[in-house]
Amino acid sequence: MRIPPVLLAEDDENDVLLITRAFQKSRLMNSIHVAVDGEAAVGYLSGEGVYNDRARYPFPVAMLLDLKLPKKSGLEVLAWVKQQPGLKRMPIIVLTSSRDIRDVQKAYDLGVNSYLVKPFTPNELTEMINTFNLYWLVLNEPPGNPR
Amino acid sequence: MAERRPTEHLSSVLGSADSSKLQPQPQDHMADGSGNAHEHDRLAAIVSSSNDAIIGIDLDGTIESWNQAAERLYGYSEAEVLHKNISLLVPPDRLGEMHRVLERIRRGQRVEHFEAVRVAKDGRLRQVSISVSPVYEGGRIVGAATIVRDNSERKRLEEQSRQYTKRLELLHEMDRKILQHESARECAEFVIRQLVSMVALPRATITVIDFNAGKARSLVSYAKGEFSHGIDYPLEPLMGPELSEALRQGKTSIMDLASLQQVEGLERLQRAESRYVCVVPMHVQNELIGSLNLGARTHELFSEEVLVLARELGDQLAVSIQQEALRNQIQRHAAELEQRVADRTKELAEANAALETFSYSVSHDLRAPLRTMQGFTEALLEDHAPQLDPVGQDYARRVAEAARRLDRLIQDLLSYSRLSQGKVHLEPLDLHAVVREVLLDFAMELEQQKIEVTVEQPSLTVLGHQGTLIQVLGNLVNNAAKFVDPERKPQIRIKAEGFYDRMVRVWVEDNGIGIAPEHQERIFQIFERLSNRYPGTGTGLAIVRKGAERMGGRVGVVSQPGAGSRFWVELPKPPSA
Repeated sequence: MRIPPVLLAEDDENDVLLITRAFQKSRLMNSIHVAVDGEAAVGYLSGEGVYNDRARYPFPVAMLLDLKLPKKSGLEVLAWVKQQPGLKRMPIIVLTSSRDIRDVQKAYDLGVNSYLVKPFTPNELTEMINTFNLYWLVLNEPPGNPR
Repeated sequence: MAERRPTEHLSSVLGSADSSKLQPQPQDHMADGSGNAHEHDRLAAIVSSSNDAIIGIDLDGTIESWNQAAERLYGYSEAEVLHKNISLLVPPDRLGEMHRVLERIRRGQRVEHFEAVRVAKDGRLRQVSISVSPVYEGGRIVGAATIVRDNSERKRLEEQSRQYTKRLELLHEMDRKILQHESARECAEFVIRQLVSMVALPRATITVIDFNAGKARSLVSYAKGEFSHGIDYPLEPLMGPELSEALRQGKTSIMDLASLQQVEGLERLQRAESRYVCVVPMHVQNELIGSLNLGARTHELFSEEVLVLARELGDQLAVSIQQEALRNQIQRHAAELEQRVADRTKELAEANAALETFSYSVSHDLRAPLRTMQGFTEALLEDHAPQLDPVGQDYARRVAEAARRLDRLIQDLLSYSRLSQGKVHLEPLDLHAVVREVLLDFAMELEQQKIEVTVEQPSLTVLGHQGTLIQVLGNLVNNAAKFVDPERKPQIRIKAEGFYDRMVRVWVEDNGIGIAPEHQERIFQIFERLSNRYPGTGTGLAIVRKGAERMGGRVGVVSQPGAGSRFWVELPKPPSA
């Protein structure tokens, strides 16, 4: 059985690189699919267009979501996902640089599963990804495949 | 009937003050020819000099005697009226009344003190009170004695007093209306109603005049029982220079509209039953603000009573009009002020929102590239150290350190600017709990640096904002832990004391390097640093001061170089404490 990927909605190339590095360092089995803006994230999840090919773009086990995304903000993506009957149970973890209390509360109001602030150093990031892996991908009982 | 001197006749009637003498008496008594002459003269003198008119008449009303008071009252001399009929003095519509009186006399009845109106020689009416008694002669009624008292003056005074009372009542009513802030329009209608109830005026208008603009506006117009409002019209030609000058001088003018030049729209008024217009000025504090205009068919309707009342009510109405104008002005000003406050508040809210957006983007966008710099430098050191010589590694570490420092600075700046924004909600705080939380935050650092902390604190309560106070005290503790003297074992002492009645002072004392007095003010300014040997962004103490001020408190320091520093924060006590 194929291990489902993690969807990373992140527009900052550098952050993508650092997060990918952290994934490698923490020896995650899951692959990472990157959506570079909010619309791409929505497209991936709804299986529209090129994403219809679930062999190439398998349904993710969880999504790491940046808030500051082009085209559709992270909060908009979050709101959309939580309204989709087939998607709403997928764990979504915000991973952003904003500590702004309004962002935090808005995200929780919209039903986010966890809210993480990007750490400053790569070591801290690796540690965080490790924990994410252990908790969400290993310990956490997934809600089941929507399809 | 025998010819007699009137006084003779009267004296036989009024022979005594005792009115019983007027009753039928045995003839021999009355006809006592021996009657003494002295008594007769005395009575004649009394009659003649009486202040009441005393008129003797026969049963047909023919005047037989006429004293001096009668002459004064009616203006006729004795010679003029003697043998004329008393009806001469009676207004034609009252003749029936006279005949009824004579009828009663013939029956031997008296008429006492009835109020009557009589006509004097000059045609003027006299208000009189009349008593008539039958006169007997030989047991037979032969005539009557009429005593007439002039009531005109009394009546005039009564009428004056009645008018005066009514005026006072009306003025009082106006006062009440003005005090109750009834609208000038309501007051104006009241005034017109009162005047119209006194005289049947077909038209009346209350006009407010704006001399500067050459315009007048009717506050209230009354015509044939109906009120209308707010008609604007030009001052000319109704208000010619003569009229406006008279008004300015406070004079009441009566004008005949028919005498004005023909103007379109005016003909109707000129022909109408209100062609005479009485224009009464309305003044308030010597300033002419308008006029009260009464229209009538004839100028005779403008009696003194009407004019006096119109003037008085008009002046009070002027007060009401002016008060309303002032009230409106105040309301306009208040509304303007409110609008201005609302505008400013909106501007401020917008500026605040813009600032918050700015802070947000600073915290997000400015820090992201820093994190990248830091991240890749560390990744470089971690993943590729073997390819770098020690100098290269040192450079990479310096880049990472600079990025970290800049990030720290941005965060400090953000917390400083957040302190200046928004409202700080103050509530009673338990100092003990706050200090415990602060020490918990710094527990690791304090332990690592082996700093000895003592807390001397009566459990005091201050009025503050929890997050801000933690920030303030945290920065002071951080400060104390930073500037340690390498020669001494570092110590921090936190204590609190009541300061005067209303304040609490919290001291954070250290035995560190101390601060020279000349620098003690500067250190609370943002970005001020005294030494590069210690890490920092120069925002810590600025945050302390800003935070304390936001909570209505103050900060200060007592220090000498080498002798440690004693920082204090002063905060208000809660009102009940």
